[in-house]
Amino acid sequence: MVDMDRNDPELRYLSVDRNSFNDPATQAEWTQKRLVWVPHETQGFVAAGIKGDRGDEVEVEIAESGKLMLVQIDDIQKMNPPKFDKVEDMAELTCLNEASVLHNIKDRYYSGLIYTYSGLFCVVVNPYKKLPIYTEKIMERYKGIKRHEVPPHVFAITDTAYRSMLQDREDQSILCTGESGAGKTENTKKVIQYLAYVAASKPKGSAGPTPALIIGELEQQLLQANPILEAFGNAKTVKNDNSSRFGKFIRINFDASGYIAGANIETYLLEKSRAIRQAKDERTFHIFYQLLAGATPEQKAEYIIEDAKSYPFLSSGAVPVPGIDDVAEFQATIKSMNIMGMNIEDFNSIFRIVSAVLLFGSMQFKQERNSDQATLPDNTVAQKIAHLLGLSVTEMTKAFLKPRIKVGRDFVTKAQTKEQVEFSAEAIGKACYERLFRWLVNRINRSLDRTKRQGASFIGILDMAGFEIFELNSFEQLCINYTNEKLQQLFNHTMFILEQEEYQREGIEWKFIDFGLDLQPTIDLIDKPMGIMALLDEECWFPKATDKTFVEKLVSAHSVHPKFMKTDFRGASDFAIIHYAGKVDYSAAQWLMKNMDPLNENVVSLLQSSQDPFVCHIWKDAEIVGMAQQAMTDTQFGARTRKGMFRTVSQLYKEQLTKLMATLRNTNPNFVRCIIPNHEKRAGKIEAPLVLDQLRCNGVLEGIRICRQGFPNRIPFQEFRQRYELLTPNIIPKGFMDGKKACEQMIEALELDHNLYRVGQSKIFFRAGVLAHLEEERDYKITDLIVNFQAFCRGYMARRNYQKRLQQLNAIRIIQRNCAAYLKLRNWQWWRLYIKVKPLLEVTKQEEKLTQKEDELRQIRDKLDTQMKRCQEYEQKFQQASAEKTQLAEQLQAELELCAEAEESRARAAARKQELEELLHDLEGRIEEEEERCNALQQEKKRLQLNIQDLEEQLEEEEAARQKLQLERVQCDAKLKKLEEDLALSEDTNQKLGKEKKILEERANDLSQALAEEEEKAKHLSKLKAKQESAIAELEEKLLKDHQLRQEADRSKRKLETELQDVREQLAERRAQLDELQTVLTARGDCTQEELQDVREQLAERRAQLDELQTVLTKREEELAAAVARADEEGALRAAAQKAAREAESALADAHEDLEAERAARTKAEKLKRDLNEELEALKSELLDSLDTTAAQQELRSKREQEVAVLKRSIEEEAVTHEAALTDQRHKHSQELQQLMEQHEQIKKAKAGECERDSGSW
Amino acid sequence: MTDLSKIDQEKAAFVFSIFDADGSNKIDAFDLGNVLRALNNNPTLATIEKLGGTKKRGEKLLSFEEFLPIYSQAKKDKDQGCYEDFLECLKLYDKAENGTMLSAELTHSLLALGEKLEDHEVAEVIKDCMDPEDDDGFIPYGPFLKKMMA
Repeated sequence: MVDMDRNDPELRYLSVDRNSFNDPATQAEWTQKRLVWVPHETQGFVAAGIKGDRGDEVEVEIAESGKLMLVQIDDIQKMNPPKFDKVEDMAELTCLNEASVLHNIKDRYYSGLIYTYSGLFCVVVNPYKKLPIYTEKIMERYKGIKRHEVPPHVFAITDTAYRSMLQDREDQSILCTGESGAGKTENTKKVIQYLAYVAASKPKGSAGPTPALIIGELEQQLLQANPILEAFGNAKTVKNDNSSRFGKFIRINFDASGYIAGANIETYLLEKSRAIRQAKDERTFHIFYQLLAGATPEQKAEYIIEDAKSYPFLSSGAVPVPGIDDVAEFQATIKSMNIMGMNIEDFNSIFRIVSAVLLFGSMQFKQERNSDQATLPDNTVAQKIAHLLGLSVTEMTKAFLKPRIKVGRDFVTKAQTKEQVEFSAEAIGKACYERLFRWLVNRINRSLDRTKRQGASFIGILDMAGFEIFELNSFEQLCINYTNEKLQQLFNHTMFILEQEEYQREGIEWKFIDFGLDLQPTIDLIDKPMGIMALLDEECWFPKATDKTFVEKLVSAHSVHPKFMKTDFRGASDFAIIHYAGKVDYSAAQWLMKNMDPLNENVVSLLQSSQDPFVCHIWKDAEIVGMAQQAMTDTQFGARTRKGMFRTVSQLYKEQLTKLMATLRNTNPNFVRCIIPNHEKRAGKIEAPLVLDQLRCNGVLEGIRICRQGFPNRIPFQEFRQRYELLTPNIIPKGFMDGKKACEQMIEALELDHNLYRVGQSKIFFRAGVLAHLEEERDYKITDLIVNFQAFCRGYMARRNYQKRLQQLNAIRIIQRNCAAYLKLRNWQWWRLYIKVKPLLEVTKQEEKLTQKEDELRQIRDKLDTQMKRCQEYEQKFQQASAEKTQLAEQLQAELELCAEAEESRARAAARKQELEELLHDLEGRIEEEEERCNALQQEKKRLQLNIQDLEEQLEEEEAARQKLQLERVQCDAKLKKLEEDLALSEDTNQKLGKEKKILEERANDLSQALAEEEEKAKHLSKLKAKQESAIAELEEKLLKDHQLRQEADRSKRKLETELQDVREQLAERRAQLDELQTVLTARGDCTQEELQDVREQLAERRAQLDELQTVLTKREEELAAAVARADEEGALRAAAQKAAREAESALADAHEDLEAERAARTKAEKLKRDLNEELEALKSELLDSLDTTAAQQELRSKREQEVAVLKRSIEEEAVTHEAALTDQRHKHSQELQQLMEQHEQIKKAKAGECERDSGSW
Repeated sequence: MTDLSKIDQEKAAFVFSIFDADGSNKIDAFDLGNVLRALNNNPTLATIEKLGGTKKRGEKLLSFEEFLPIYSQAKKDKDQGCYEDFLECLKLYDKAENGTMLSAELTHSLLALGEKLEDHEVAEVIKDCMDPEDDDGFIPYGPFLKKMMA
């Protein structure tokens, strides 16, 4: 049966006659030449025959060229026997290696077979041409057929998914992955096409098979969603003429009986920048060209469409793409949109926006010469845009050129430079387009999801942009590559990890194979906290952050991450990430901008209040990063207030992706691996290295390997028993039996090789192909039974027919008998007579009949009479009635007239009613719509209210936080100011102190110098002092001596005085004596002689006395001379006194003779005495003088000493004070320094704290 | 001549005569299946073909003498399944295991699998033997089988 299918003419494009591969000749060649695969630069691998071994190397002959070469034995890969050529499932290959897989794919591709199974998933190579393998007939062939029964096809994958969805009630997903241009979108379309065909909802009741042509409206719309999305979301790139510039996840819901119940499309990452700028040889989205080329003149006028060349946003004008007719495509798009239920108003709104987006680029801004303000000298374009979007021109230009920005609580008009204005115009253009696209998707979803009820299960189809590695990659590429990384992780996870985990869980002996494909590190690098995206977000909040600081942060945070690489400075890229598909260089330029995606909020609010309801609608939920917020990043607190108000592109995307992944994880994934054969869009060409790369990246080989080594098919015991019990009749006894045991018994009965299966805890596992074999047997058995069943049906019908026939036959027999009898009797005379007579036989009975009739007549007459009577009665009644009738007729007439009138009015009323009804209908419809909308709105409102509440709360919190912050800020500002002042002050003081310090130091220096000097001086002084002291000592000694001398002198003086007294007394005595003598002399005058003797005696006595005196005097003089060395005068005086004494003696002697002489002597003595007195006086004064001088000297000395002491003390004091001052100053200085340091520290800390707070709040 | 019993032979002769439309004591080989079925056999199309039935009328005639051994052979062919077999088979479609299956599935298997029946044939069998389906389109398959195999 299978072989028969393979020869089906319908499938001739999907399979080849593989009998030729069993040709013994090629088989022989393969064995004889020992063919192997050897690596080749451009072809990946080429076939070669082994000529001989040489240790580690092998000599081979390249089959094609006949060239001999040496190859490392490790580089050789085994070749499969030729019977495996173009095998449909590569898991069947005996030798599984890259070369064989590549060869098989290549071989099949050259034969036009683009689909190949590779274990559990399907590999498809882009054929770059149309193949007749997607017809309805083919779909019919794949319907409900097992995978291995038909050639590989995406239909088969889809059908498997569909069947397992129905059978297991498990959600399915089909993931088309691959590089750009590998055919993901095409295959996705085929999947949808197939599902729409197979699962089209049929009208209930018609149990028979529906002719395939009737596809319901929903299915039509589902199929038509694609052309619309493609028109708006696809574009020509270098690699691909119809490249999807967005990712989509189409979710088709099925009801319990497997019919399509609805669908939902989710889109990801529209490359909106394409709307404003395109690379060389690339185009923007198709719809622009379609509209430009396909619009009618009226439409062109309405949408203000200009020539393609006049739009700066179409970087290279109208680029025709071979094979795409934009006009026809435009019609197709319109048609699809019609089918989707869009009306003329929708078209108008959509195309107006499309046109407006283009026009945004045509506004020519100029920079004012002497300011930063941009101007729009010519506002014709702006008028056009304003017209298309329902805005006021002046407001719009004002919003662009001089947006009002909220700074704090005030609005400020901000001057925009030319670049800023151009940027915001582009941003608005992009955003408009994106929002239009989003609206379209929503609109389509609305059409597709009419049933409202959630389907029983769904099949999700994911079509996501493939891995992108350009020379320089930006933020978009990171997002896409991150997605792919996640998808690949999912793939690995389901294919390898979950698989092996299941083996372990089921307790199957299994050696864990590490496929080395864990992508978690790379994913972590991107999405974990502190990962690239987190850092990017953080950087977005950070004031004054630039792309460069972002890169620096990245590098510092991840320089040791194994998947992160710093690129060298020469390259244009900033960093590189090692993705599973290879190393990708990223340039961080514009990332912050791209992540924040700021919009001019003035323009946005204008758009939100546009007169065009459609414009309002698409903008109404705008959650944007306004430029004001962008400006607010200048302040430190700007960042805080924005939190929660909007989210960055990466955050939104991450969220979306997480949701998608959660959905996918709950489904049973089916993978379709799309492979791009070459980059030239050429059919029939395979670039081997390119394909090899993709095979490696996709994990195709690993997939096959685990498929072969593992047990990819598994069935729970219960199901196994239910499904395959048929194969082992009578093995399991009636009644209850443990599932596992039953299965084991069944397996035993099936006589399976132990290597082919494992019995787990709850499931039974089979190696690839075993289950298929069982299934085949089961099918065979079922078919057998069905055939018999059908035979019974036929038997049943045949017996019924036979019974019928029998009855018919019996009937015929009777007729035949009669006929035969007739034929026999026909010529019998009597019979003929009888036939003839038979009509006559009636006459004999006439008499009887007559009487009978008469009776009848009588009866009838009676009846008639009564009838007549009755008739008359009725007549009367009739007349009455007719009278009544006329009356009534009249009445009727009147009534009729009335009626006519009424009729008229009724007609009018009816017409009115009709109108009203129509109106009502409309209104009801509208009400319904409104109600729906109202409900939706109410829900929305509720949601929004909740949201608002949340937001309000948030806002309040934020406000509170903001106020607190403001307060804090003010405080902080004040503090800061204070601190700054303090700082300035302290700096000042610091400086001053420095200066002072310097001065002090100088002074200290000076002082120390001075001190030294002083010390020297002091030393000097002390020396002096010593000298002085010695002098003083000397002086003291002297003084002492003087003192002694003086004392002695005093004593001598006193003695002298006493002596002098004595002398005086003596003198006085003598004078008295002299007087007496004189008197005596005078008195005695004459008698003197006598007395003279006496006197002489006396004199002698006196002389003796004098002598005595003289001796005493001499003694005294000696004493004096001995006592007073310097008192020579005394000596002299004494000598003089002696002389005087002698003179007095002589005088006395004279007086002896002469009174006069005496007198003379006396006078002389007196004179002498006077002289002596005088001299004494002089001596006395001299002594006093000398005493005075010593006292003065002493005084002076003490004064000096005091002075010295004072000086010393002052020096000491000064030194102490200086030192004190110095230490004080030093102390003060150091304190100040410390203070300053502390302050500095505090400031630092404060700053650090702020930093931390800043960073900590993200 | 054969190992058929007298009664069987008489029955066969009777049925044969019924299908011997023109009394030529021969039947069209096309009718072979129906003759056998009328004799309470349930041959598959493959069996009939093997036994010499034709797919078109007027290709071959069979005499009663030729027919008898064929009948005998068909009668001996016991591999035609029984009620239990079919019940087991239909149980596979009995997801809820409550003795019911989707009527659509039954018709589908009769129409699409094995020796496919024609639409009108299925319609006839269903009309005669099947209980009305419930709201969800399910029918009890046991009674159906019983009626059909009665």
